Amino acid sequence: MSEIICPYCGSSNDIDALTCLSCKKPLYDDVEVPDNAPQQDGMDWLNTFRGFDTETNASTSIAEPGSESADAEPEIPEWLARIRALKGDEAPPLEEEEPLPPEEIPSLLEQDADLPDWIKEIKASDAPQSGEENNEDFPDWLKDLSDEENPTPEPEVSVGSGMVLPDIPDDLSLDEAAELNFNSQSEGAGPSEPVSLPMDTGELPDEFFRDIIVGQTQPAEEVDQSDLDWLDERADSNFPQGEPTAQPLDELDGQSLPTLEQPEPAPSAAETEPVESPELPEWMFESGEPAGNETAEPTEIDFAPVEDNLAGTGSEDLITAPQEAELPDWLLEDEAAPPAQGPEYLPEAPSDLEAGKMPGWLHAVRPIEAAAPNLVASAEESRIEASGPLAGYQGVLPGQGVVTHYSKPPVYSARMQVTDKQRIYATLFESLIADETRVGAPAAAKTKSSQLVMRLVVGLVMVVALLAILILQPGFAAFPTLVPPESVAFYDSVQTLTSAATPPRVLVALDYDPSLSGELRTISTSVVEDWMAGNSGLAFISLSPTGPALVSELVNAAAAQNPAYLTAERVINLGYLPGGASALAALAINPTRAAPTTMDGLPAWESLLLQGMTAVADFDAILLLTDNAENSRAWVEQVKPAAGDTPLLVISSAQVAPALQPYVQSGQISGMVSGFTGGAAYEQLTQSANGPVRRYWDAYQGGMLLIAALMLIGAAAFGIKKFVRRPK
Amino acid sequence: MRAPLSTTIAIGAGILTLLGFFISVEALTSVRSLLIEWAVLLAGVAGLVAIAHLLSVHWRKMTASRNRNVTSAFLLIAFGITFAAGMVLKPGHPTIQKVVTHIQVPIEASLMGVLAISLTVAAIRLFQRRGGWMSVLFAVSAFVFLILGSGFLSSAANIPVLKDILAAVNTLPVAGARGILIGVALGSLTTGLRVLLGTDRPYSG
Amino acid sequence: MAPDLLWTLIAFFLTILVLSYVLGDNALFRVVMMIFVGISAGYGAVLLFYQVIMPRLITPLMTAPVADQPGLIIPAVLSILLLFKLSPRLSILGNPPMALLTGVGAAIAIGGAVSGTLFGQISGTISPFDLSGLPSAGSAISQLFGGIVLLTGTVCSLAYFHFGARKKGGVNTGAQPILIQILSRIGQVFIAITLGALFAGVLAASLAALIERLDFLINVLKPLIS
Repeated sequence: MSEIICPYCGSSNDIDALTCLSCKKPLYDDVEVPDNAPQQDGMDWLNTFRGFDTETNASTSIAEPGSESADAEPEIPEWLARIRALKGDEAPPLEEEEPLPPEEIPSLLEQDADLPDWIKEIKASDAPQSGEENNEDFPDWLKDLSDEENPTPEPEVSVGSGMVLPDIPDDLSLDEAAELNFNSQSEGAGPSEPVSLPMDTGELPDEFFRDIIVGQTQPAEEVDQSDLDWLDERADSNFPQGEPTAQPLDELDGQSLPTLEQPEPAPSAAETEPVESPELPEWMFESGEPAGNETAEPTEIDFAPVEDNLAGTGSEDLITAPQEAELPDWLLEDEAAPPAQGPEYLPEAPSDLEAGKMPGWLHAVRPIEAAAPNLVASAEESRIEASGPLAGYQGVLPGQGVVTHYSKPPVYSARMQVTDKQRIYATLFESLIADETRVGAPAAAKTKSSQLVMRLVVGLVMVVALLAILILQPGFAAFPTLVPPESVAFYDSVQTLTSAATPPRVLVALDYDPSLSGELRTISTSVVEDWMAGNSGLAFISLSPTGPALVSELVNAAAAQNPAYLTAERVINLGYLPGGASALAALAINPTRAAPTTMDGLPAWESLLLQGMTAVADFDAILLLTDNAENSRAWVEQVKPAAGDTPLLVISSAQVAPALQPYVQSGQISGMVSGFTGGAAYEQLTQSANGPVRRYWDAYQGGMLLIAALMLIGAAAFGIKKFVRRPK
Repeated sequence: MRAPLSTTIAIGAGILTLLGFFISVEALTSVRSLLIEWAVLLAGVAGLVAIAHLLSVHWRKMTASRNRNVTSAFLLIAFGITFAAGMVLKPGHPTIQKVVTHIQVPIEASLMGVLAISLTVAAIRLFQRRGGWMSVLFAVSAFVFLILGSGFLSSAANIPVLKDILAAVNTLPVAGARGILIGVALGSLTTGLRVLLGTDRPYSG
Repeated sequence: MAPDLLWTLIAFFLTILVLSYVLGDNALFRVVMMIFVGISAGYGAVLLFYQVIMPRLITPLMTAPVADQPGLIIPAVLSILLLFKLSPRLSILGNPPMALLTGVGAAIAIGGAVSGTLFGQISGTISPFDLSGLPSAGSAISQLFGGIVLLTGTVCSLAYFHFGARKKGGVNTGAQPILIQILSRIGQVFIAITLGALFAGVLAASLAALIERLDFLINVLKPLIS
């Protein structure tokens, strides 16, 4: 065992000692030796208990119950004797034992002459000493004592359903358990919760927990009211209130062990308020006064591990009934204890005693913790493994205790708890928001009206500007000289085909809506004129329902520039093809089945123009007029693979040109003319002086630049507005 | 399995069509051709069904006891006249085609003209939107391509590097559009496979 | 009054009525829209009947030999079943023809996407790196630069669209790898530029439509004024 060197005299002291054996000075800074404390060597820790009890009013000291086992009848206070008498009436079979005043315990333990009878009998006993195997757990001071006294086998009492109580002073261990529970109760002010006790048993000796179980098995309501009659005699008692009581063993005998998870009402704060009692026995004041203020703290620390273990483990279940509120806990224990002090506990029949075991109270309240509180301040350090390969070791990392403390996470209410003050603030905030909303409504209306005005102004500006340009035809816009390569490729394809010896046959897919017919018809007219100029055969087909009608419009516009072109012979309208991509797939597979008739209901493929053609690849070119990106993609995906080397030429609206550019770049579209810009480029390439695009070119370019200018004006106005508003 | 018959038809027809597309076997090609022809016919019938449904909706709106929509009568009358004339004259008749060229075209083209004004207003407010650098980049791109689309710079062929600059600038949207096209193609592929595997069954509604 | 003039006046007033939407929504505009929808539906129904039903279903059934009749029964039955879609209670009978449409359409979309777009566009992305046959080094450098820009833009745009982390229950199941994040950022630039170009294209197309309509109005009014 380790030792402690006194900081004052340098002498070696037992680790259990609080004060130096040589100089009597405190070994620890936080421990002061009271001047009037009983200076009994090695027994200071008992005084600290006493002081703790007095200070906290939680319970009597551990030594007090133990004193009951001693035969000290003459020293019993009168008030206690009355209680004993009352209990004795209720438990006639049991021999009464008188409690021993606490101040005598040290001498009992230290001096053979003052030993109680049961200890004397232990010493005198020659019975087998089974308790020796537990000797290792004994503190040194007890080992020394036991070595001297040759401990005797101790009685083992069976309680309840197979429960085995510790032998040596069972009543003492019972009281100790109850006291510890009370300590935990005084610590835990919250409501009791059903907690499974075994989860903490690993931190304390088994015997100790047997005692606790016994102490917890007594519901407060089951305490005999007659046991508390003495309270009536203390109407003005200032004893601590609300202390729990331990169940007498005789009540436990023969009944099954009640569940530990039975909740009990929590004590009120008033019940735990310490008050000084004028009727306290004199010895209590003697022992309490010196230790009261000075030793309370170390004593609390002594119990900290035990209290921590018990807190929240169901020890709160032992809260006493309201009628016992004014009882000091140790008195209640004292009151409840006598039944447990039956003759079977007494060392009257040493021969019946079995091998001694480590008393729970001794194990739990080891002097190392009691005497040197700051050494055991940490709960982890005092924890003793109860099972596994580390069983018996102290201070190992916590495992079970930590794990088993986890429980279901608390369920929090989703409902907001609002105080009155918060509600006032919320109302105020809501009124502020409402004000903002009221202000915002006219602002929104104002914004809407300003947008309408803006649209009117912009519309008028655009319409007036375009009308002026269209009417005046100023001719300020130059035709593009930089021609896009796809337009050049388109032009090249048309020129190549129309200049061939055999007039080409072209499949013209008219796939645009009336909404953009103005743009596409304007662009396409020049191209169709060129085809007509080359006497090309044109087979029109449409994926749009309005397409067939637009065909005639386009053909008529183009034919007006080519009077020699035989429209009736060289142009055929295959009509409408429903189904989107499916229709194009059908057309790619077999155009003769996909579009069997003309708009007039005549068999199309028997005409002179289309005679002998069975596939789209038989056409010299496919010309797609489109304003729809999706349908254009379908043409590229479905028809182009079937067309083979037949070029796919596209005249597109400006709105789909960016989406079709990748197909142009990849070569899937052979050439493209897009928008008025592309049409102007094509007309520039064909050197057309009076093309349809040229007619609109001024208005178009002017309109585009006007829109760009308006964008710049809008951005500048926004910037100025932002700059002006910033200082505010 | 929900709608087993319809699912079987969809999967079977789809797989046969796909096999006929990739495998050049006469039988498969014929089956594929037949199925596609049926699909075109059914698409036409579906168009008629859609028109009939439109008419029934407007008929209910016109004859409703509450919130009667009188303007639906104009729709029904216009439909009746056009349909009757079309059935009599056939769609290739010049008069019927004038319905398109002189009614539909002016209305739709004028709507597009109104859109031009609305888009111009939107373009003016483009820089006022606080959408981060993407919005600014979008507005700048729109402005630049408005200038390029006007052909204003295309007439300045005498500027030395202008052609290269224009070519480089025009390349940028091509790259983005190609990414979009490939993404759309991948989406079509995925959706088509889901239909052929029976995962998506939009026909079982 | 000549019929052509009548049609021209109809077109003129319809144009004016629709353009009046610039001043705000009005009842005449709504009436014009209803007339437009009715006429479109009527013309479409006529066209479908004469261009689809007649040549593909009725005429073959009437004129085809008896041996070929069974092959025409199936589409006829499917077409009739499709008509049940008009009835909410019997619409389930229209599911088989819809299934046929969907299945065939899915197969066509797969084939077209693979052969038309995927192969073609991947080939188009690679082709600029083939520098053979170029007349000069300058042309080669220019083409190579363009090819790199195209490749970068294509890959990055795809990364922006197709490699996002799927959300499950409003929570991201995984973060994007850092490389994908970088590519996605670059792809955003290309997509913003592309969308800007598309916006400019729509503006240009609509402006062309407006110009054509205004020119039509001028052409109608010019004889009256002069």
